[in-house]
Amino acid sequence: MLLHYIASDHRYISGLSAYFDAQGCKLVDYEPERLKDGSFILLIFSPVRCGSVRVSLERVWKKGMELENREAILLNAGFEEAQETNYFDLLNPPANWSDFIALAKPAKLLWEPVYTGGMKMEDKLARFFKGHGAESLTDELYVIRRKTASLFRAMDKYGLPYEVAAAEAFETDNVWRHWEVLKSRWSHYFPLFFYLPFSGQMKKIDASIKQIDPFFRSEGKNGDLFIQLECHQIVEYIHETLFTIEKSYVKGNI
Amino acid sequence: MDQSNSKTLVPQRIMIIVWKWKNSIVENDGKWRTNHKLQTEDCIYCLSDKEFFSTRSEKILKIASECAPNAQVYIFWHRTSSYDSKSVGEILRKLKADQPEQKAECFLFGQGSDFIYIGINEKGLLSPDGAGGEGCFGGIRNNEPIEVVVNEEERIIHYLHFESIWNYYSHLFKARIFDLKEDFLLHFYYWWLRDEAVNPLLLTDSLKTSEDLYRRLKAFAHGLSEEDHLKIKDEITEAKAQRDENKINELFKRHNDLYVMDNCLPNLQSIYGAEVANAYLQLAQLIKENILDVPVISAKQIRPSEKLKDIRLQFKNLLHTMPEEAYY
Amino acid sequence: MSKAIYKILVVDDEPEFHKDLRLALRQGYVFEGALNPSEMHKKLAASDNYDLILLDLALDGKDSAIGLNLIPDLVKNFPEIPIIVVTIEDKISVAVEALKKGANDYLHKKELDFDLWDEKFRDAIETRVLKKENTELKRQVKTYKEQISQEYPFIGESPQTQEIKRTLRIVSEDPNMTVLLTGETGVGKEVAARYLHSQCVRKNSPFVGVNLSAIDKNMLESELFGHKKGSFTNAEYDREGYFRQADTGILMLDEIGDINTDIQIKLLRFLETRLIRPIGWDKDVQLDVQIVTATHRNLQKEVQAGNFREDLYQRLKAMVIEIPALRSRKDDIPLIIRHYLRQQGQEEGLIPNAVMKILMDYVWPGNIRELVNTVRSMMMRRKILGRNIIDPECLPKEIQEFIPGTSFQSQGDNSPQLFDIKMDDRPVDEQKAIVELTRIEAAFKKHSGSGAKKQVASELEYDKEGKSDNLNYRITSFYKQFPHLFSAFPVISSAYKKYIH
Repeated sequence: MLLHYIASDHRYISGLSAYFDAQGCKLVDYEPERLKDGSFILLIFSPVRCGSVRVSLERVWKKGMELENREAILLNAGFEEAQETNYFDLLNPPANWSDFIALAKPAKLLWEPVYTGGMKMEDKLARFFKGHGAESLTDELYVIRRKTASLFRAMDKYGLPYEVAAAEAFETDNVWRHWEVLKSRWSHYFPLFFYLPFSGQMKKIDASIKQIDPFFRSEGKNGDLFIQLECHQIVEYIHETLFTIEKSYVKGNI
Repeated sequence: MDQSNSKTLVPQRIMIIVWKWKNSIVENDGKWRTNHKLQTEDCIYCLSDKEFFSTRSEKILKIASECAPNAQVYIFWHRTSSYDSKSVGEILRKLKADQPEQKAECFLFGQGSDFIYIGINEKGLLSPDGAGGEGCFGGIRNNEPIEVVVNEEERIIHYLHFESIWNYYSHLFKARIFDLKEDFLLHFYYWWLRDEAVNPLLLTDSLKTSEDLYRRLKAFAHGLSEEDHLKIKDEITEAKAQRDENKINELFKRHNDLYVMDNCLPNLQSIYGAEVANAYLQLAQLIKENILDVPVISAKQIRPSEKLKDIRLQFKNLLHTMPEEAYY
Repeated sequence: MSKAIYKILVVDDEPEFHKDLRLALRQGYVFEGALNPSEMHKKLAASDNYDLILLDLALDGKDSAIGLNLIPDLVKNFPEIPIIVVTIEDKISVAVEALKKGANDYLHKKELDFDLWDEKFRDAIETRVLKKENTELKRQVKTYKEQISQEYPFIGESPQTQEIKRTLRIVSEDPNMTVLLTGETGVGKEVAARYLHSQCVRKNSPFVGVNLSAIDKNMLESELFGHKKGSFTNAEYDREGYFRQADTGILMLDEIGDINTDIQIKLLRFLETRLIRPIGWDKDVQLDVQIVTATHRNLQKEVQAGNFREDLYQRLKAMVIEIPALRSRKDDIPLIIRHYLRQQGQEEGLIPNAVMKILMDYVWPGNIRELVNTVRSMMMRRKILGRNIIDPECLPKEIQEFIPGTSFQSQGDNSPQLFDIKMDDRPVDEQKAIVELTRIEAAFKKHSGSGAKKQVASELEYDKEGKSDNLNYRITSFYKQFPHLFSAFPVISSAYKKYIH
């Protein structure tokens, strides 16, 4: 039996390798491209460490599997003492792995993963997207989007030269500040997304932010960068990607 | 607490920050309010760290007596103002005696390395780089000014900063104890899987290979000794001498964890009372007996698998007596 | 319909939002900004010619109620200005609430699709413009209808007219009743039909009046029932047809006695089934049309003569209303004249009682149509003659010389009595010919001898240049058209025996 796993510490795996060998299971690092496989099983050693915090990802993962592969099986393992289907107590592993898997429920069914005590990722995601307060990225992104969208439209649709449009758009220096705040918050959140089903998309967003950062650091003085780096398009891409994730994972109710 | 969604009030929340404030901040009893629309009684008292501990304690007790009987009080003491964990325990005991219904916690902070600082948290309150070496609200972060004060004349600070600090520190102890549990169990997981009786000194030796975990566990079970404090100072001195910024930041983080562990028991006692304190002491005792304070000569063999389960159970008992979640 | 530039009042607490909007939508709009309700009211008080209000609901950044509460007053005080609200909330209920309060549309602030915003702005503005134009058009249609009903008023207070009106009102209670209006030409059959229309439930639906005798017989079917493009030669476009134009309303078919058998069959089919089939269509069309027909002919005689279908006649005469000749309701004549004068902005006192009496004594073979034309002619002659009021000389000759009780009464001689045959059955031209021939006959009776023609021509002003050709032309022309009349005019026949056989 092939088991994909997510773990932030190799000691889980090295410790259990003998156990799984005895159970006839092969543990492999999670491969996103295999998520839609027919007999996909994912084991999360939870909570996972993301930077300085420990995060419980199970509910987000269950949602992800409901979206991508409803027959897939999600298991989580931890030091929380519990006896539940789909949960693996590290200090009390199942005697027969096959029986354990046979009883495990696929993602499509309604069941709650055992909470392993870490930061609840579903709550964190909700705050990330919520649009208010100190944790949200979306307020900052909105202001930036509005600037780049209006600037781009003025140039593209009305043929305004960059210098003229930028002089209007960046009359105050608000947007540069918003960009710095966005980057700061993103850097706080990004590590938390590392083990999530949509981490690939988040990595692309991270790369996109880095890509257009030179334009914002130049505080708009380098107009060529706006076009060359496709700042407006990239900002829209970031927004669309986040919006899609929010729609699937937050508004769809985890 | 997010003001936009808040429908219910929590008891009055008071922060008392003892620091090297500039004079204008500590005038008028040093009282500052927040612009939270619902939690209108929340406030911060800024007290100067120039006074003696006894004077400072009296002022704190006076402030507490003027607050709501069921208020929650967080005291932030600047560490390098010579306050230490003994002070923490003492002030918490006095407060408990004076205002038994209030829930008080005391945190040490310093060197710009704590969550209360803007350098660490963009929604922090303090900047160590106050004008003329004097502390003030707000400051510069990543070359950008962070404004905390909404109205200087009316002495109002932005509620989001207050909330950020409050939320973080209200989970701090449980989060650190939870981390300790996870790190501890993971470290010894190898031993559990071996499922054989071993000399406990082997576990002690194994623990010492993870210095960070070892020191935290010691701070948790024993508190920080004089030796530990000296070592902390030496490490900082050395890192500063090397001008190794990354190392300094890493050390700050580690030391903070140690201080938290050091102050854990008096705070938990203050917040939750005897039940939690007993659970804490039982866990500490278990850890000392089986891991930390194993006698060199007459140590009996133990089965790590059994002991780990015992310790896990005791961690669980302790954590479950703390009603809030480990993380927010 | 589209202006070059629309003026939009943006009400939003965020100054940068105003700026970005101006940048993104810089063509086609002029933006004015208000950061709060107070500024908004000031702007609206100073100038209400905004084409749109863009209203941020959360004017303090948080509470949508602030913006929501502004909407009702804005709608009430500035109904011409559409409102689009901008919301940051994801809850659709907020937008719905805004729409219920009177906002025209909403936008989500974070949906930064400026093309969509542009489209929504224009839609809201141009819909409001269309509504306004529509309201204006409706008002104009209403005015037009009122004008029409003033143009075709059923004037008259004589007992006969009152009875006709009463009958029409009762008949109007059944909107599906097929009505046949009979009466002499010009007696007011169309006016009666319009009166019926104005009284019934179909009054807000079309009234379509068609004079069947004025339409080329080859085109009649197409004109009435419509056709499809290409269904016959020269059918270059689709035609709706009068029946469909009158759907839900009334179709008046005047001179119903003039239609051929094919059309009679199709009309009968419609009366039985409410279906028509336009030319070139492969399916029937169901219509809801009330049919009012009119004729000056005696349809029963036409049926007997085989010119009109019996079954159609039976259908048409479901309700027959005879509109009496004007001469039968002389009391209405002054009212009609006064109405016409008022319409033309003329004083009623222009016609003294003596002249009015002459007019009332006249037989009016052309009925109301002739009366109106006569009044028009009198007004013109008054001007020509430079009179202050209308005197008898302003009257047409035939009326001047008409002797009440003589023209249409027995002459007391042995000549065949024209009035053995009712004037009602004669076409107007024939009636006019009778009147003129009567005048000429009377004149010839006064003059005899070799110069009689010249004298008659002179008296009756046919001969303005000293020749009598006009008189000769009139007589011979009448003879060509109505030879059967001349047996009643022996003096004329004798004087023109060269032409009259």
